[in-house]
Amino acid sequence: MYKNIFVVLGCCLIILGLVGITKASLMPIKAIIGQHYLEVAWKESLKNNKLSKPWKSADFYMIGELKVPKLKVSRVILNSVSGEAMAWSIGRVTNLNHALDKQPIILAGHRDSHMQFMSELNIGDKIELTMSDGVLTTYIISGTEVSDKPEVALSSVSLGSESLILTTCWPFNAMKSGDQRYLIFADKVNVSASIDNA
Amino acid sequence: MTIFPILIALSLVAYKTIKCIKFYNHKFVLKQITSPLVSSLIVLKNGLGGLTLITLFVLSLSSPLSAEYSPKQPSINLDDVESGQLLMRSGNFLSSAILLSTDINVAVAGSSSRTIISQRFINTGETWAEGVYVFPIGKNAAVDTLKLRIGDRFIEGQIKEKLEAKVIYEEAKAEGKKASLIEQQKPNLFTNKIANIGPGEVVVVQIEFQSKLLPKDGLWELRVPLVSAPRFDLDAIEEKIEFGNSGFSSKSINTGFNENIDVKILDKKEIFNPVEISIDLNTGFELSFLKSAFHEVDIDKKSNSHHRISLPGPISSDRDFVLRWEAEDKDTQTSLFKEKQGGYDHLLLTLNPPLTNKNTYTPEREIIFIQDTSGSMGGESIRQSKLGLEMAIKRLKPTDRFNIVLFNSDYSKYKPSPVLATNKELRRAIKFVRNIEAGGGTNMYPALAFSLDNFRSKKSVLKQLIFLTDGSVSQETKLFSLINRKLRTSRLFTIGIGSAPNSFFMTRAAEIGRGSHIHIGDINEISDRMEELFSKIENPAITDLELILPKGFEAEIYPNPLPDLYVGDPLSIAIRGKNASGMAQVTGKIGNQKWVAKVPLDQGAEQIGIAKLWAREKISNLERNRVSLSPNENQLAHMDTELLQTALSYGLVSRLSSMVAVDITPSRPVGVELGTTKLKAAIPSGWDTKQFEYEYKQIVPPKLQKVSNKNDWFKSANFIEKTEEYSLPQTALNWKASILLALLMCILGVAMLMIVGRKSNV
Repeated sequence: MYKNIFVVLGCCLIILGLVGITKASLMPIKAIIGQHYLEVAWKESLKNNKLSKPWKSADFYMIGELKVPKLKVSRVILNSVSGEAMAWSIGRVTNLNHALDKQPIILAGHRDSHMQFMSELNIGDKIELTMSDGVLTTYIISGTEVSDKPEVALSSVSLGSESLILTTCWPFNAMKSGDQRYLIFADKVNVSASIDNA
Repeated sequence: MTIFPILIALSLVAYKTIKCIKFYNHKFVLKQITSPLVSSLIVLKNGLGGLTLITLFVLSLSSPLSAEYSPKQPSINLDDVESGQLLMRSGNFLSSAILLSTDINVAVAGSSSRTIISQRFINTGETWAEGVYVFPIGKNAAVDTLKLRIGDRFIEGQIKEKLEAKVIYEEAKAEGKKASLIEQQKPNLFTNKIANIGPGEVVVVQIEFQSKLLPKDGLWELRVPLVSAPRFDLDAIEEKIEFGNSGFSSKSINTGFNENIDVKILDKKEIFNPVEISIDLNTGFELSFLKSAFHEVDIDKKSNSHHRISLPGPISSDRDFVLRWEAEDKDTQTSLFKEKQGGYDHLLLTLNPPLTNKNTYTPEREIIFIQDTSGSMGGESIRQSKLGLEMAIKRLKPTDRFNIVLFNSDYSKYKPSPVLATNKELRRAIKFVRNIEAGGGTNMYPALAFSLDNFRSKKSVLKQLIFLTDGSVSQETKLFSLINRKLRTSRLFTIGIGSAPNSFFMTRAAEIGRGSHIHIGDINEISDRMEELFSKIENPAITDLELILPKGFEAEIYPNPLPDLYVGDPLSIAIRGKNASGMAQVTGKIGNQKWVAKVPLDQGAEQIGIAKLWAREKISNLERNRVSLSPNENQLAHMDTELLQTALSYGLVSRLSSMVAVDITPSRPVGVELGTTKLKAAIPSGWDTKQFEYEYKQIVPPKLQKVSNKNDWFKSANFIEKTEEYSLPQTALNWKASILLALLMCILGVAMLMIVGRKSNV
């Protein structure tokens, strides 16, 4: 009697499920393919020495590259943290009320794609950053913190690119979004110090 | 027949899963996807049915799947701080110092309040300790005065130019003081480090801050946080006490002393940390209601709009002090407060609109919605924004005209010009909104230019632009000047949707557009906040406000231009000039009728804090101009000089000035030993003797008195600075959860078909 209804319902569920799977699996696929493409575009823009969009319809620019030698990870940094930009790579968080060169570099990315590697970083690890000027700066992780609110208030003593902060959602393996954020603080290594090490 | 789709579905599911796992070949994916997958398959095999599956899925959603990775948590959670506390650190042990007394003084002028808090603490520890004073000042508040007395030392927070402040800070750092570069600070919490507090020493802290009170439905509330600090837990101390290698002697608290700080001290008969409160409530409007929520108070009525509130005697700090008042629902009233400082008269003119709309007509309106559909809106932002837009459209009345403009790299419009909001039109518009999708670049200029020129009615109609965007724009200056040029009689309201919109752009745009800005960060708030905004702007109390000053009186006025006045939402205008006298006029329009109020400038109530309030307005205006006017280098330098001068002469923390703690202990005659009890500490001039002058034996309960060993102290420097807030975006794709959900849907469907198939076979 109800057989037909169940058959239709079952088929509908299967179709919906398949569509869902396709849509969801596109996210990590986009993240990985995008990263390769961005890297090529970034190298190109470093050569040309000007800020550029990776492709024409993009609503963001590439402003730098982040490398973690320990994990062999590299990520292109975008100037935006909108949903669209973060689907492709990590973005820089800015406070528009202040001059950009007076702000610390805060980078945000998805915990389940581009910033997954944050869970494997520890105090003392090295992070390398190349911004659009092409100069490589090394940072060393000085601390980590979990914030209960999706915001961070920083004293403006911490000027400019002296400090680097990586952020992503917390906890890493949770399955839904929340307000908690995981923060990694890193300080710039003096140029002279890095020469000594080498 | 039915076996076919099942086979196809199953193979597709398997293919997709394998592809995905292959593609993202990390151990975490395998661990997380396979474990629920395997378990759910087993559950299915055992024939437990779909319900269990769904429960399983819900469970897997609500709890993280594998063990949590936990980094080092901060040792003290500042979120727990609910009232003024002095947190003491000695070695690596943190506790809160015993509070001896609290004195609170609040002066309310219209919608701004100035609070002076004085608290006395005692270091009951055996060792020298470092303390952190914390006080929850609340939102919209800023501390501008700090005074400290630690034993016989006097320290004052002084506003210095940032460069100078930094030199002092660096000096202290060079002397081996701890000076961390990045410090996470909570924006609503005032914190200040106090170094080298001797054993048995009394610490007096006095801070002053200005804050803004916001009424809700005509009801005002002033809350003084009093709930006391967690008290000494003696057992806990004995167990936890351990001094690290920080140079402190590892002496444990002697038991004799422990017995003295017994719970008995906290007995009611001897109010241990008495609180005194006095409030000068100068509302500027007549009150229909004034009440203290939890405490008995004495109210001294000076006039219908001026009351002095005090406590009959000291109270114990076991609950917050809450004062509530409500305005009488009258036509718009004006009030004036003033303060003389540095040869200038500072005036605060407040317009208090009625609580309910007294306008008897419904104004005709013309509304243009501008929706940002650029790529940066993609995801949650556009979803929320569409919802908000739909809600706004549903609120339109049949007499209203409306239009919708969408933009990304290009712009498109719903209709060439605004149309009447008939039912049929509304349905069509909602369908139009639902089809919006985000993508492409952000080119705001042509859309805004089109919209500003799109109004078709004549003057007497309310013209409103509702702008929904995340505000990620590049040519802000051009946009501001466009709004300025083409606004005419219309008003621009900006609604920021999403977690981190460009609030600066939107606030400024609304200011130039003489409207207002709201930010909706939480999807659950959309309907409430939209309702709030729309019921407000549907019928403004007074429009086209203008302030006409008497001849010969020149003044700087903020905000400029004046926004409209809305029901239940008072407007404060800060004015500074020399020798204020004569009659000022505030004019405006109620519908089509003219409205005039006369304000005699020489009669306002004297109130402290008005000068600082004006200076704060001026600084924020300068900060905005700095960005929006895109000045050249010369103008920029000029603006910064002006800003710094204002900040220094009014003693405010700003982008260019910081507060540094400076030791100002009056010098002693040579040869007199420190700490000899004979010598009474001399209070620096200008300091409140009631709070800072005390007799040690009188204010410290006998049980806590002990001889304090006075030692030399180090020069200490604290840096009190404006902190900058960065909002951190939502950073989880949750694709694993989506895949899981979709997979379970498939399995449920397959199970359903199988069950049906089996039944029909039987």
